[in-house]
Amino acid sequence: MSCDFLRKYDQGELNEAEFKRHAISCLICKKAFEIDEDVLSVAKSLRRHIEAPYLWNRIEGSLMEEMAKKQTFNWRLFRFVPALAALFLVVWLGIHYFIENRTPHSGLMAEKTLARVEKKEMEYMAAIQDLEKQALPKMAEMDLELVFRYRDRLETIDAQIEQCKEDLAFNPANAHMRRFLMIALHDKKETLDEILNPFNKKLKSRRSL
Amino acid sequence: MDEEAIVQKCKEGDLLAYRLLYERYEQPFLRTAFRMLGRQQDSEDAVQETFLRLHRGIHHYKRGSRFSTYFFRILLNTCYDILRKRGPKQSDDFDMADVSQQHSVELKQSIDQAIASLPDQMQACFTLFAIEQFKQDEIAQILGIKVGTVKASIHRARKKLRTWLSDSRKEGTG
Repeated sequence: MSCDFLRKYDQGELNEAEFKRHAISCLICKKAFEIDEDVLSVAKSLRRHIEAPYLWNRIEGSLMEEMAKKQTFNWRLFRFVPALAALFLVVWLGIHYFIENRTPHSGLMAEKTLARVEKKEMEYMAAIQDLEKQALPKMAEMDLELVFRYRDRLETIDAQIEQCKEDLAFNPANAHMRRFLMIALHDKKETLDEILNPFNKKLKSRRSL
Repeated sequence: MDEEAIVQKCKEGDLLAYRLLYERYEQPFLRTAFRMLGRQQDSEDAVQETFLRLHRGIHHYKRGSRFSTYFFRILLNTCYDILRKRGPKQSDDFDMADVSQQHSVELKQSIDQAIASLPDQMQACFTLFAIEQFKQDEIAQILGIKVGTVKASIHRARKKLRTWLSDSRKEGTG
């Protein structure tokens, strides 16, 4: 004994309301529906009360234990903070020491910087040589005493330049010596400027012969 | 107290809030766990473990989703874990004197046996639907399955129980 509606209902193809409407006129389905209702009603009545008098105490105990574990864990982490800070300090000092020792800072230049400085010096010296070529005919027109003074001064500067060059040939990265060389070249340039522009007040006021 | 407020307090580690949750969920949890595990001791263990798991993972719970489905899901996962570890279901006697007197003791025992004999997922769906009165979409959320699967499981459970009941009635009259 079966009904197509019941099969559809069991397979979920028919909803409860439709099945209930059909069950009014079908004995098979009516009986099935009554049994279903009984099952649901009995199932609902199976909501019995279960006594578990010590369950909360167990849960509370385990929760407290868990919370305490968490706190202990955090404390342990904090205990490592000074050690980590000390480690960090040691590492930082090590790196700092390494960098300080690797990079020259007491008058020695790095290779790249040195190459750049040498290039600029060469250009500067070439420009001064050009200036010197222009100044020589001018000196021939000057008062003899003035010529001697300028020549004297230029010789002193040239000697200073040569001395610097010799020292730098021995130690090219010596920044102090490079600075002396630059000062000497600058002096020479200013002297030559004075020879070429004898009426430039600015130059004269900066340096008296 | 609003359930969301209780959950917030639980997140802050307030034991009193856990106590409030326990008072709300103790019976449905024990009943559901008992149905799945068949032994009171195991069901108490499952509820205890569920509270511990809630405490460990409560920060993952987001406002907006229903807390009861989230909490029940933890319980069911715990029960499945216990079943996996422990093996086949073992049953304590179900004391029918505790339940409503509306139906005969034989009928209740018969239905209870029939529910216990259902496959795990079908039983979980039917128990949550018929005994704990959850809606089908809530059951889907609790079990992490589709609503269609829940509907099909409940239908199949009804059919099995109906067949079981009509057979036992025939045996009784025969």
